[in-house]
Amino acid sequence: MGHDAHAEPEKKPGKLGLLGKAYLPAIAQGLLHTLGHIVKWDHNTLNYPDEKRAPFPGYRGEHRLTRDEQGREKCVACFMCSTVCPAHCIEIVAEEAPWPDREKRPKIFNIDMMRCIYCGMCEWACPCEAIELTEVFNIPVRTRAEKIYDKERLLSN
Amino acid sequence: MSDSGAGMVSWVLNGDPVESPAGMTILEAAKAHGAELPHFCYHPGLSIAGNCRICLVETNRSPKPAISCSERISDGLEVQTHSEKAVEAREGVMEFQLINHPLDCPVCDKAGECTLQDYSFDHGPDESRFVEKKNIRHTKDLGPTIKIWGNRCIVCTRCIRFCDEISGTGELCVVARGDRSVVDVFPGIPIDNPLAGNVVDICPVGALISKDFMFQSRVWNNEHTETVCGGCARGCNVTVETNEGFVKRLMPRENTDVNDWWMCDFGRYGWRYAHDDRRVSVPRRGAEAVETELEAHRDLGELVRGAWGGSKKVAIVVDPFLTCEEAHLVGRVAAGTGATVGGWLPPSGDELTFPGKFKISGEKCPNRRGVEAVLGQEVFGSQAKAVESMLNSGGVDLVIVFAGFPNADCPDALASAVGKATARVAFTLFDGAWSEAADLVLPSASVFEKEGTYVNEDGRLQRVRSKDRPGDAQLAQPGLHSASISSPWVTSELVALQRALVHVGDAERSLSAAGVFRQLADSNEHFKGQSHRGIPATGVPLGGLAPAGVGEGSES
Amino acid sequence: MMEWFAENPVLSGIIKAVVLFAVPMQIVPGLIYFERRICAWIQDRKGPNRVGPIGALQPLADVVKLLMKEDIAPKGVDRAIYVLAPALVFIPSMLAFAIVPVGMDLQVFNPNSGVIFAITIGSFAVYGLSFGGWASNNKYSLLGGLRSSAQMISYEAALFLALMSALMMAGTVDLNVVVRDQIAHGWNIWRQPVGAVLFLVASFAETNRLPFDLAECESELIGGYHTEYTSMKFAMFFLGEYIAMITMSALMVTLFLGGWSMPTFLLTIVHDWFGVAISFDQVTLGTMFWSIVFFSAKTSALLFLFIWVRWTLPRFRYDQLMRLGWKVMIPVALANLAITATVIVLMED
Repeated sequence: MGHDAHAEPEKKPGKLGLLGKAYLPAIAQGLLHTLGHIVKWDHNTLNYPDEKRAPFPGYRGEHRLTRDEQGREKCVACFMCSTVCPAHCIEIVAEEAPWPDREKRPKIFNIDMMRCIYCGMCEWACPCEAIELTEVFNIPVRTRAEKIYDKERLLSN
Repeated sequence: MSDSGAGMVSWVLNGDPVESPAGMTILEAAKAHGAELPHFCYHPGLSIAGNCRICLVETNRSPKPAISCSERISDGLEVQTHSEKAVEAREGVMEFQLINHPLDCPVCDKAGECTLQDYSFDHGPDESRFVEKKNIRHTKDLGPTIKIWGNRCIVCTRCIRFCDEISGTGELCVVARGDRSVVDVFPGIPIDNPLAGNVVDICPVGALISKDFMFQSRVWNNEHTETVCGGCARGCNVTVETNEGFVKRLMPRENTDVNDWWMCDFGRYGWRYAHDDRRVSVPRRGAEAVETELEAHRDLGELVRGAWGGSKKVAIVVDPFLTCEEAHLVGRVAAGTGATVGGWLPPSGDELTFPGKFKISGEKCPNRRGVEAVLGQEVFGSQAKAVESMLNSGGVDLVIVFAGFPNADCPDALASAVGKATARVAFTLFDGAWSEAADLVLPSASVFEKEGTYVNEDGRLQRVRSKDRPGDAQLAQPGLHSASISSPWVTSELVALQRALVHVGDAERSLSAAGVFRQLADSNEHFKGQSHRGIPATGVPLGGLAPAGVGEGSES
Repeated sequence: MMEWFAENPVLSGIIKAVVLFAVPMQIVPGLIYFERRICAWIQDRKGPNRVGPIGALQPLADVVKLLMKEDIAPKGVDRAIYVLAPALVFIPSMLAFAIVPVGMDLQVFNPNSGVIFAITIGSFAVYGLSFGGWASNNKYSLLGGLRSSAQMISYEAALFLALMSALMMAGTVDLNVVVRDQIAHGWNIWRQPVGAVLFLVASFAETNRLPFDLAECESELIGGYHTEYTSMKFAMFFLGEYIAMITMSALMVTLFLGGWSMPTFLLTIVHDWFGVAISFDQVTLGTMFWSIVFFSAKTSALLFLFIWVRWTLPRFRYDQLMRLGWKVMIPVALANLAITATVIVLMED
């Protein structure tokens, strides 16, 4: 092997000495560091239900199906979201739309919120801006079945 | 070149000297040498139209680019498929094709298998320079099964040529002119010929849509199983497309020895029985459901063991829907019990031959030749009569009946004859005279759930493959079809018979279809030397088996 | 008062037993609360602060939760041993605490064997851990149990040798005498610094706490020996660990940090502030009270050290743990012992 110009010179560990080998200085250093944190008294936690943080822009919470100006769902059941979904949590069954200007609409549109990883790729994939992620994140339920949102639930989100 | 054989043409493809048989078009010859050219209107099964112009290439014979699908090769021809001129010409054509094409891929059922999409990706511009209003063409029903989205049509006329040349019915035509031209039917004459479904397959865009498949699934979600259609003795090669365990559609598979590129609508739309609510899905003793299939198979094994060694009078009635492997197992049961084996055939229909030499067989069962090859040439003939009279004369201890036919019940005479036996076992798809007479009813597997081989009417051995477990669908997509298979898993006769043989002690363990076929190939001269792995995708003609026509006399 | 205790051995025995049981049991919840708060502060969090004022009732809520939890025993456990194991962890630590003089001449009982009793009884805890691992019918539990037995046996040797050095200074195993010796000659931590460090490190290992919690080791063994325990059985393991911690701290204080005594300059401060003159020459109620205060303060400081170390240091690798035990601690402890013995003999001459 020739000289590798890019290889960084090997870093030699400094001599530790007997005390260093007993880890005692390092331990003391560590203990002082943690003690510093206790003394600093700077807490990052929020008292959650009492204090709430405003969601960051672009926060990805639960989904919403949007409506057009006539109040109909914008979704045309193209399956792009369910195709791109890495968690396979979107289940769509299409049907013929009853409206003259639209050919296809979802008959069933279920999202399993327990399976969803809130990556937002459905929102990216949607050609009709029909699905979007809201800032809602705190809807507890008592059964898993309640967390499978159907079309009506998603439209009202 | 001196070593050019008779009828060979030397020409130059992209600078490489190559040889091809005389009379080939540039597109075909280039494809044979590994250079794929885009094409909309060209179809290997149809006449050449040369109207889409996406296949343009540069040649040394003319200053203008040539239409490769209609130009024939000749000595000294030099073709450039990817020269600047050729690519520019194709890009120009692609841009024009897309001018009036709507951007409705999200709702178009062709999306995912659309050649316009593919070529637009390969050759098209990334944005349209067309700012004017796109023109609107009709969206309407062309027939009972087919709908047209005129806006999507690129007027390649494949469908029109198909109706003219292959089905010979000529329902379709182009109406209007210029950029308004679109495919239509003549007033009052819908497209309803038995091959109509093929125009949807050959449509390179989403203009012609099958109403059966419309909005049912996106094609990229479908799983493909290459199998054989069970509708008639023709044995058309098909691909079964399933999604979440549900059959979504059947598509023909190219096999120039059997069905070319086509299939008939009877086969294409004839899969719904597999998802019928009324299918027998649970084994029963009389009217009472048996808890597990294993238990039912043990019952069957117990009956067979009681009759083993020829101590009892046993009759077996087979149907022509059994695979060769299943027939072989029936033969083993018959040999062990000394049973008489007869068969029954569903009523035959009309044989239809189309101008494009596509044929629909009158024999509405997929494997009569195969069952005959395994169980004897007379199994549906004189042996069938022998079994019927044996049953009628009474005193038969055990009868096993196979009734895997999706649409028809057995002849009444045979059903009542079966009822006279002491112990009666029926494998059936649907309840009917058979199962009413039986005291052990076992579910049959449909063609889509079988693994094995069929022999078509020309004596061609072809593989049948099962789609994935049908019952998985039930949980996945409730309400998609009104009828879903209610059993989680229909075990085919292959499994039931082998379990019975294991119970008797005649077999050590159950084998896969390929394993049973190996036994069959060892013991039967017709199948000698064959194996599942060795059967090509398009099947293989069996030596010593009579082609269609011979053995007709034995039909009852 | 002492006389009364001497005159009523049965009654006083009962009272002592109740005190022995009640005091550590009352300290443990508080200790758990402080552990959680201190760990939170170290990590810049707030810690439990919802139950009661500043979250002080959190341990109570935890206890209720543990009591209410479903008691599940997995299939295939060795029932008798499975139930016995938590008690075997819990009881020895408790008993060892009995001989520690928490105040001036104030201990639950004072056997002739003195501190040897505490160490011997304390060693029984290893049975609890390995039984728990063995009986659970779970490979992770078994590994945890095996690790804990190997670890505790190794470190027990170092612990005992370190302890010996302190005892040799006083020449007795009576802990009150050890404390009085320290009043006379200065704390053992100054006279036996190596022994003190060794004892401290070994007591971390004996209590199975970080950086030596190889027996639990969540990231490798799920929960180690208590993986399959729920409800109060789990809580007993938990209690055992904390009581062992208290016992070890108390022993450390008694052996190396002057026990219930205080150096004279601190006694002067107490005198200046509270107007109380304390002399350890004779036993009075006042001295006894103050000695308990001193002892508690020192023990609390050590308990804080236990917690502080746990949330600072990472876990040892198992081979490192064993190497430290056998190749470093035991030889050093032996050498220390030998030197101590030599010096003592030379000084006597």
